[in-house]
Amino acid sequence: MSGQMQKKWAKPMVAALLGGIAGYLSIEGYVWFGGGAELAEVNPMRLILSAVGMVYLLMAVFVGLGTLVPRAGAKLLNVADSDDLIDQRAMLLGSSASSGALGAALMLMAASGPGGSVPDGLALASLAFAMIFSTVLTILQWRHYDELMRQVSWESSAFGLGLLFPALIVWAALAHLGWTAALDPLGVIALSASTVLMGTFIAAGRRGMLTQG
Amino acid sequence: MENQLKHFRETFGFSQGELAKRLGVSRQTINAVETDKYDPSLPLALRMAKLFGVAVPEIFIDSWEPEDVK
Repeated sequence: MSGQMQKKWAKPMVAALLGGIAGYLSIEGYVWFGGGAELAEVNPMRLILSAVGMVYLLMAVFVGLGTLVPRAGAKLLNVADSDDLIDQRAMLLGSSASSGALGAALMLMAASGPGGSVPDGLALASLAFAMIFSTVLTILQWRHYDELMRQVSWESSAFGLGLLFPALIVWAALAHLGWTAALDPLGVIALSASTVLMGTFIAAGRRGMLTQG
Repeated sequence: MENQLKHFRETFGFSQGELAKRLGVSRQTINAVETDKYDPSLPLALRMAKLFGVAVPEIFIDSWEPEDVK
C-alpha cells in the first residue's frame, strides 16, 4: 500500500476498528449482563434491533465526544483538523444528539413488549421523541447545510429507500407465499433503521467523506 | 468532472478551509470537488471562477463535443 493510500484509509480504518470493538463489547455486555440473552431466546429480532440501536448510540458517542474535544476528535473522526470540528460544532452536536436519541429508543423498544424489561410506554415515548426531535432538527439545520451536505442528505434518503424497498417487498412477498416466516415488527424497525444507516454510509462514501482527501 | 480547482487554489495560496470560507461552503465540499467526487452547482462554479478571475471552463474541463446534427 502506498503512503498516500495509507494516509487516506488509516483514520477510517482505525475508527471502524474501534467502533467494531466497542460495538462487540457493548453487545456482549448487553447479552451477558443486560438480560439480552433471555430476550433473544424469545425473539432474536430483539438482539438484532439492539445491535442496530447500539451502532447509532456509538456513532453519537464518537461524534459527540469528538466535537466536544476537537483535538482528540480530529485524530479519530474524518476531518482535516480540529478547526473542521469547531466550524461544524452545532451541526455535529445536533446529529450526535439525534443519533443518540434514536439509538437509545431502538434499544428500549427492543427490550419492551411481552416479556420485556422496559415499560411499553417508556419505549414508545422515547421512540416518538427521537422521531420528532430528528425531524425538527433536520428542518432547523437544513438552511445551514451547504450544497454538498444537502446533496448527501438527498442521496442518503434515496439509497436508504432503494435498499429498504426491495428488501421489504421481497420478504413480504415470500412470506405471503409461505416460503419464509413473516417479518417480525421489530424486524421491520431494525431493517428500516439499518438501511437508512447504510444509505448514509453509501452516500457519504461516494462523495469521499469517509476517507481522507 | 475533471477540474483544476486544486491548481487554482494553490496558485492563490489558499488552504481548503480558507477557500471554503471565501465561497461560503464547507471544507468537505472543496475537498469533494478537488477529488472529483462532487460536481458543484452552477452558482458555486461561477463563484469559483469569479474568485480566481477565470472562466468556468478553465476550472472545469468537459471533453464533450457537439456532434453535427443533420
